[in-house]
Amino acid sequence: MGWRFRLPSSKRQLARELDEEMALHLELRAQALAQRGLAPHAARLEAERLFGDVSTVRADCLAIDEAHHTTRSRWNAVTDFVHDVRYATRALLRDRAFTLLVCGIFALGIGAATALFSVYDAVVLRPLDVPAPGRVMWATMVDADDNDGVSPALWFAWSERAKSFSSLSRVRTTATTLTGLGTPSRVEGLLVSEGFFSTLDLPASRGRRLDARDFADGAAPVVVIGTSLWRQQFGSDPAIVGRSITLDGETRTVVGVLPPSAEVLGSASAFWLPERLSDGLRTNLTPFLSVVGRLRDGTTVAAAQAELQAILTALDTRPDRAARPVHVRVTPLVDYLTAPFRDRVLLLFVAVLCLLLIGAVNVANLLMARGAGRAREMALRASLGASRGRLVRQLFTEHVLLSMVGGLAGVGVGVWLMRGLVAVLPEDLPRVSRTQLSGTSVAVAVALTMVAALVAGLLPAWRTAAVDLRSALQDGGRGATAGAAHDRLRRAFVVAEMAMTVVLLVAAGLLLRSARALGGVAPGFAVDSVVTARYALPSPAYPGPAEVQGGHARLLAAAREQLGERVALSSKIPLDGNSGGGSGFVVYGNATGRQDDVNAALRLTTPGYVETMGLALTRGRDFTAADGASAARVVIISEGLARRLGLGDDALGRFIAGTSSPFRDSTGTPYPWRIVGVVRDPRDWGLRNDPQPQLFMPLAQTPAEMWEWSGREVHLVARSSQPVAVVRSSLAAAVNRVDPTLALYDVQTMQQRLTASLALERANTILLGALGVAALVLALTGLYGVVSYGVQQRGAEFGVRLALGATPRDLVLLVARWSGRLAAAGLAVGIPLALAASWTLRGLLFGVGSADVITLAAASLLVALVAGASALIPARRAARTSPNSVLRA
Amino acid sequence: MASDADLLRSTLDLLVLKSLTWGPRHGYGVAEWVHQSTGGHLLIEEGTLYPALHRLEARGWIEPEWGVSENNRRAKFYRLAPKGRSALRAEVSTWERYVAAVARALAQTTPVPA
Repeated sequence: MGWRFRLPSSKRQLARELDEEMALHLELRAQALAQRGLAPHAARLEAERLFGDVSTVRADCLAIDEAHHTTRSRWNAVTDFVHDVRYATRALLRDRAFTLLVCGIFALGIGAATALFSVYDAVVLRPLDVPAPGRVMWATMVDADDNDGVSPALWFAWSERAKSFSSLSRVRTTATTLTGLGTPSRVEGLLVSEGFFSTLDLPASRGRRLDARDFADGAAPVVVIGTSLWRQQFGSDPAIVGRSITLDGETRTVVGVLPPSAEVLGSASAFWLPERLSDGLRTNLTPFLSVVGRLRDGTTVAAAQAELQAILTALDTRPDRAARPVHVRVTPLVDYLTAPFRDRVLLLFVAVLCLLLIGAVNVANLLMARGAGRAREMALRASLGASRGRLVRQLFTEHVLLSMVGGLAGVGVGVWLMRGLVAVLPEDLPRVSRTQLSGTSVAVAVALTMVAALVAGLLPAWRTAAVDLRSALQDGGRGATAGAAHDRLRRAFVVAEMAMTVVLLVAAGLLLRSARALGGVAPGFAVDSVVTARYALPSPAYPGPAEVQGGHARLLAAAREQLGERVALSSKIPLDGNSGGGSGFVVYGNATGRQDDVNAALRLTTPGYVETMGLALTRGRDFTAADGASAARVVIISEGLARRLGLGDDALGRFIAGTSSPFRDSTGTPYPWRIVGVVRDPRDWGLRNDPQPQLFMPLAQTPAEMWEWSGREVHLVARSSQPVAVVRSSLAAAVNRVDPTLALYDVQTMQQRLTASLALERANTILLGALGVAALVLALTGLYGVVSYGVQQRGAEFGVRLALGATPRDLVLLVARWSGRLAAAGLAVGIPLALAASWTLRGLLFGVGSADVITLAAASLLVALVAGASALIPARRAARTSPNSVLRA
Repeated sequence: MASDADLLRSTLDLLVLKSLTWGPRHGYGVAEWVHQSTGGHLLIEEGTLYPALHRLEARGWIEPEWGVSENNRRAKFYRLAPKGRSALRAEVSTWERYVAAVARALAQTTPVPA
């Protein structure tokens, strides 16, 4: 009784076996009858008669067999799977180093991808947390200089005529001082029109939203506050609705609290105040408003944009409208909010995917090398009756198990990396604090794991299982098999890996060089030991210019008393995050046509500011106490402004004039401003942005019309050798002594401002650098694996070569040439890819071109060196080959 | 009480199991054993044996294995599985009680049992 009974694999086989069984019965019966003397033909007939109806028996048996077969094969699949998993676990535990390495690669790749995806998801992908977020639009007018904003005149026209929006609303950020709750604090919120809450379509979490009655004439002063403010300042007071709070000295009743999802505009979400635009503004063309709206169902973004454009065009009566056209732009609000960060975060995400791919390729390579070593095991199992499909499934189970363990570890690593990432990324990245390991992230991690398992598992599994039984068994310990196709695939993997490493290294190198270039840029202002803080003088307590002036003077005097002479005030400071709205200026006496004026950012400063802020005065002098309100009007200008005005080197003593109304007297005649100083252009908008023309004016000479929008809120700037904390508390004490209802906020050193302005830059550079190094390490192990495997494979050949007179040195050279060819191929593929990738990066670069020879050369050299190093060990092993051992084996 | 077919079927199952207690047999071997040990009274049509064999196989009471027949052909042999062996023991005692009960009933001479 020979071989084991194997489960019939198909119903056809079941029938075949049944027929065989019955045929044998008839034959044996006929034989027996013939022995008793019947003629063969008669015996045959008698056997059939004794058997009965063959077809009935056949049908009955088949019905039983088929039912049995179905349940049995199902059960078999389960037991096979359990067996596969147990076998895989044992195999992986046996190869512990290999398992750890592969799981480590997976964990790193998947962890990094999960972490980055979580951040990307929170910052860019996750839409606003409001109903139908895709329909909430940002609408604005963009002028020929690419400035955006909506003027009151345009707003009135849009809100009265536009049909594309189910609600269109106006928002404007504002900052007020909240008093009556201990230390006064500065809070930012929004002034909104009535439609704002229907645009967001969010109900209040407590109380009510603002509605029509709050916008009516003579409405009671009310406010709706945000959840964060409610938690931080009111201790989540359950009786908040109906409570009175004081904003800028005005008492308002809280009528509701909005949920956190209403905090769509970042920090400006502490409160929402109703704002009505007076009819007097109907003709105002200053674009200082922002407009958001909810698209009506069935309307497209393009249609809405066309409608708003038509309304704008009808309104546009400027004489130069043909030469300087204005456009309407309608974009989803979420796109508008994330646009500045999208590219950078996407860049990191792509880099991480690259790393994951390198990892997967590397794992595939490791698995294939291992598979080659297991050819004998596979051959043995095949000879014992395992089908090729069964072997593939077995190996595949092993790889899926590996990647599942790796993936699980990856989620853990991902959580850890994500925390680190959130810590490294700048806080003001919108919604970065909302980063969490979302369901999406986990789903993506699992999907990535499965893809990695497919890439890394199926192909090598198929190749490993494609063993030639006889040759594998006969070759015995030598392993052999593999074949040329197998080797080609492994080499292709290594080349791809090195190419991607080159891409990552070049990207990291370019960012690094940009960071270095930025580090070499002179900011044009002092960074060390300068502390800045802001305060604002609210209108109820300081109604007019005289009171504001007096307030500033008292505060400055108090601060100087604490910290010495090097304290000054300025309406705007470098890196304060405001563009510092500009005004037009011309050389005095020139025709004051709008086209010729130069737009300059205006700073209202007190004497001593130039020295305190460390601006470089190239000509003339700073303001002095003598440049008072009634003295002759003077200004300091930046070199850029002097150049743009055509004054060149002899700006000192010349007069300039402002073209807008605050700079004219009641008859419309412009005031002459004498230039008393020229400063080197400070890079107020960040190191990577070109400085704009700037104009400094004595705070004391601020034109009356400008107080309301420039003069109330100023920065206190102090330069001191004392510790920052001391300077800070001295400033706070000074402010408190002058007016305890004032809030001192935004206290930062200039160093902090500079660091913050470069934070995203630095985070990107660090992360990409880390990714590049990780890729390099992976590529090194990949190349090492392939070369050392090749050396092992060609051991016999080396032996023959040595026997025929080759020296060990020849063998080293042979291996070196071989790995050199792989590295060269990797570079040949990688460099063009890197050039393409750098080109897409060019917006993020500074002081370095996207096709930077130094970076390319450095990255290539690094990869070549690493390739050489990783080939060294196998090459030396090849050199030590003993001809004897190889030939005898 | 079961119908004639059921009775016959379970009787046949019992005999098949019994026939395998001396070692594996193929279908024809089982038929021969049943034929000879019952004096040819029970198995009128030999073909009916095969559904019984396949049913018992599906139930896991007997196990198939391929072997070589006396005329050197591939043949499907059946072996008594452990499950079948204990089933046989139980069936035999059931059968004996059944037969005894029926015999006693048939031996009654009065309309109401004493």
